Amino acid sequence: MGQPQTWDWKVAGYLFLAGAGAGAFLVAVGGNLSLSLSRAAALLGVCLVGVGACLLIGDLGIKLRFWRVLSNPTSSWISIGSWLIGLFMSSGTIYFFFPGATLAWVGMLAAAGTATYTGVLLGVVKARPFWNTPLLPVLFLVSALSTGAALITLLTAWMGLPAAPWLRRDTFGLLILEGLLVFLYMLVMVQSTATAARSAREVLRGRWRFWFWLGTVSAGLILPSAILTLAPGRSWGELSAVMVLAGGASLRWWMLRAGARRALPGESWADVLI
Amino acid sequence: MPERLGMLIDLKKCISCQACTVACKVHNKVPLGRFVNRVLKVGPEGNFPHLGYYGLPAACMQCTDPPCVDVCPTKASAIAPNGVIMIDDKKCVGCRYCMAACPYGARVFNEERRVVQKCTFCFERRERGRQPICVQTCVGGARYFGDLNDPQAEVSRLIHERHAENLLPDLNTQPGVFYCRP
Repeated sequence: MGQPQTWDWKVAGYLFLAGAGAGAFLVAVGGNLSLSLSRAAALLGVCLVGVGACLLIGDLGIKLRFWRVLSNPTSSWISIGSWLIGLFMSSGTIYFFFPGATLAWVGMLAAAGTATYTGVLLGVVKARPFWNTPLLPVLFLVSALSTGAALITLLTAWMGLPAAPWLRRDTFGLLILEGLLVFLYMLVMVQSTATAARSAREVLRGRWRFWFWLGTVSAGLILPSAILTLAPGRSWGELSAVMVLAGGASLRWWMLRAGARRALPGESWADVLI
Repeated sequence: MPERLGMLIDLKKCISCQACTVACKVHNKVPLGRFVNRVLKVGPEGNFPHLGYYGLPAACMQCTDPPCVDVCPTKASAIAPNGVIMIDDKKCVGCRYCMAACPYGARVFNEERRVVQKCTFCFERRERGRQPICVQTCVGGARYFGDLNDPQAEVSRLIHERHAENLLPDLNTQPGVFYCRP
């Protein structure tokens, strides 16, 4: 009696794009990069979050009713998040045309909110123990920053600008932090309730093992950190940026899909998946 | 005291015939492959020769503190004055956050109507003064339906006498659906 898939690739794609887009804004504007790069990052961030928002609306049963989500701003994390997306997209757009210190701060607050709330959205769901931890918003925020930094690396190269000297070092630092968080996350889950442990096992050794080990751990964390340490060339930095983006997308995928609920007596594992 | 509708399911009387599953699907027009009410098969469990299995009818638990209502972004999901969790089809956008939040897997997405569907204790049958279809159709007479706040009601009396329990009580959702052990 398999019940339906609740959230699929559209939601995972949104979680990734919202994180990466908001992260790009945070890294460029928060890192005091050149005005042209900051404006480009604002535009890129707004576009990516916009595509993500379209995926989210596209995932609704009745798409034309999406405005109803906005009419009850504090009713749910979906509503709070929608307002955060709206605030980020509007402040980012205005920043692109009229960059200023106040707008930069508003944009950064909205960007931090957008990146973090995606983790809160899943983290508050008590019924799914693999998500139900304050570690999740922290992990999603750090992943947003690392994928954001990767986007800025690629954007700098595409615009033919000189690379900021700290970007490479900070990307490396973020990857180390993210790796530590992923390690802690799995450590906590493996030793948590039976359902959380089963979810963690499915990620480590089961259905999502390739997404986890190849996507997030190898492509997203180990290889890019090794490249950033050992290979100084710019094209190597760009290659590692692409890999970090792939790792961040994989992270959202296995995290979303492995969020199982506790089985009722007689329910199979397939029944309790998202 | 206001009415608080609830149900008791006597697992000793359930014979896992799935009559309620079918009746619910037909009556509530639940799409193919989706189940608002289902009878889970538990077991066989135990050690030979003391083996057995039982059926566990599971639908919405009509929680007093429902996680699904908490997460609804449009307030389409709400607790009716009689305690039943209802979805306003005109307000539901089909975001399915409630399906992620429900610990009992009681909500399904109706692809035809593009909104979320759940057990309403057969709202329109109750309007006509009738019992939910699963209660009426139950072959073994395993389901008792009524007002939990009325101490004279059969359902309340039996819940008390038989020390009936909730599913996943540690989540503190305080369901209005109770079970007698098999």
